[in-house]
Amino acid sequence: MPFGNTHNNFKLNYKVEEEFPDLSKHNNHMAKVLTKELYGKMRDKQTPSGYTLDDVIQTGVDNPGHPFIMTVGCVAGDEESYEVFKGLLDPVISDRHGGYKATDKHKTDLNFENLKGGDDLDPNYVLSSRVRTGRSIKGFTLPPHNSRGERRAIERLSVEALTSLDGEFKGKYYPLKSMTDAEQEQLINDHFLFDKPVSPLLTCAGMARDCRTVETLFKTVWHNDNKTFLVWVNEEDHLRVISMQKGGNMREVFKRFCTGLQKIEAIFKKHNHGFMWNEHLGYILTCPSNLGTGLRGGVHVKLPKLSTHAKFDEILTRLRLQKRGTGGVDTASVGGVFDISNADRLGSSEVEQVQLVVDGVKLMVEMEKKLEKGEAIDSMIPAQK
Amino acid sequence: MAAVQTEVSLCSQPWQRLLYIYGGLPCNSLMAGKCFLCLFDQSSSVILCFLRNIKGRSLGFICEFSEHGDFPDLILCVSDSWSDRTPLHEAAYQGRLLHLRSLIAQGFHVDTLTMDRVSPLHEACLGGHYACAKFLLDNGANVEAVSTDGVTPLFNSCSSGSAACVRLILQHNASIGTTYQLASPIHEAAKKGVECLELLMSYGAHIDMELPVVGTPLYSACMARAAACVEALLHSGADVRMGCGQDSPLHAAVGCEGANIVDLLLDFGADGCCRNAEGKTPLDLSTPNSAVRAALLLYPCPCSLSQLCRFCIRRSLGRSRLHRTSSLFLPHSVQDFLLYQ
Repeated sequence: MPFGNTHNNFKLNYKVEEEFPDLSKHNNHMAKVLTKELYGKMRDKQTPSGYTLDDVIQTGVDNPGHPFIMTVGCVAGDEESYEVFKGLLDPVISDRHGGYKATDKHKTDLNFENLKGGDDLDPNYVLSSRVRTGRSIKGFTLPPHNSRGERRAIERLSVEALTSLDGEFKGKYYPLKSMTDAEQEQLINDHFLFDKPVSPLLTCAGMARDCRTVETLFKTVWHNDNKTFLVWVNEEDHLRVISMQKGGNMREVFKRFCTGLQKIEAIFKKHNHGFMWNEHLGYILTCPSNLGTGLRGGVHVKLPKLSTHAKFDEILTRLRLQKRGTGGVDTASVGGVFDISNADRLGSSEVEQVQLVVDGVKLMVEMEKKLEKGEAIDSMIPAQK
Repeated sequence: MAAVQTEVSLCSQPWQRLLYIYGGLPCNSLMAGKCFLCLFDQSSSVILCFLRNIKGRSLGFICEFSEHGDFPDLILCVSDSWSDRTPLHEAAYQGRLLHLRSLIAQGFHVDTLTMDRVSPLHEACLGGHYACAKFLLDNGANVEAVSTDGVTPLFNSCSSGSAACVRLILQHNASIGTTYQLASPIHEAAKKGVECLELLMSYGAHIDMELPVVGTPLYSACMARAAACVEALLHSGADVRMGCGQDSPLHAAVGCEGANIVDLLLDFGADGCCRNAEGKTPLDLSTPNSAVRAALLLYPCPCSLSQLCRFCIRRSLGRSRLHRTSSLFLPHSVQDFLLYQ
């Protein structure tokens, strides 16, 4: 049960060493940074909404980590968490974001016209393009900490904002409100519910609370009529905004992403609820790994030859990109299809991050074509970006 | 949306035709049951599909029909979470057998995959948890599962250094070769533990397999300063000259300051004068006044006649017939000498 001990004031009757978690076998950023002294200094602090240090670290205590996956190990419960617990979170942020300092300033640039190219990625190789980000709405606590009332208020605001969009952003909002109580009851009895998050990283951070209630029976989702612009509400962040389409026109995807975000923010601002942002951390999100732009711009790209090249991982590192599987139902049959996206979030702007993806993927497709012809690519391997 | 399309048949009227699902699923193997509940809302042309696996676990999708009644694209395909690892993966990696049992009993599919195609069996083997790996295999886990990075459960078993897991996976007929260019089970075993290595060799693993960047198993063992593995490989007839490109195992051992390994390699016929891609000999790479340098300088060059004979006979016999040395009509002392005993 997450948060079993976090709101227990009796814990302050015990010495620091009696309350300090055993992190000896942990492999996450929080465990690397948190010392007994630091814990002692901050354990009695809380944010105005009541979020404590134990809340911040719970997910990292419960999830020791993995030799190949360095998790963050902590989450914010509200905008103030990053200030109140900066003694822990600043070093974690620095660790996670390549030495980003407490004095550094983040850049934001959502002007799609500053992106060079991006409309000419070869669709024979680039199967789909996608840009996503998260946004937190000012005046509410974040998903690990927010209450039922807050989640309903966020949903109401979101419905209002999203259903008022027009043009290419005109769309539909789910859940299916037209279902009768009897049908809902039947679904609950049959266990035909949307599964609540099962990732222990999320559940231990308190993000799956109330997921079995009728209000959240259906995933709260909005998408435009073309199904190229999607918003999830009340998941790991207040809003998750995704722009996507088939093929390699990343410019079009990014343009829609920037325009849509600006439209949504304008509507929220009318209701005196802008997005959480500051000049040091950029857009404030639940997980410190997503601070800054919160942006993940990626493509599904076919690289069967390059992906077996001895220097594939080195090339990705030099281009500041990362790879993931596409998780397709039978990815293996497609052969060498990867989800390639930007590795950075904090310290560079949205345009710069998408530019890295566009330029990097373009180069990798050229490399793939060379390898298909049996030619060497050593001369094409880039310097570290 | 991914270009991957999977055909899944719908069970219930009136939708008796194919549904094309675009994009990935967090739990790919949930497709196995092919059983749907479809709720159609006439007013908004929306269909809610619940895909269920055989054991009843459900995953919901919101789909939409076009006016022509064509089947929809899948709108929501992949949870964009920080981690798509399930409790099953966590329990397997941490060796929590009871939790694993209870999750499987609840209906989690034994081969639930992450986006990078990592299965719970991968994780149990990586943690070196024999009981969890056995439980998963007994429940039908795929022993040949390959992740996006080309990693198999056998590779992870070697990586954890768990001989019990390696034996278990091999007993389930896992293939010991690799199609992955950056690592293989035998290379991993050569760095981690002699027990795993000997198991793989007994199952016929290719001990001189050279991969780009990582070289041969012997080269990997030298780089990892795994003296016992170096010795096992050499006794089994690994080619002492084959390293990584022009870098010999001796270059690797010198670079890692492994004096005992340098002695072993020289004993088995390593060429102390060979040059790497930069034209450097092992001696050139050695640190002044180090034990490694002393070992190189102390070794008789050229070799004694008996040593040269031993190298020559072993090479003539070949790796596959080395074990037959004891059946040669030779004095026991000569047989022992040939086998480095």
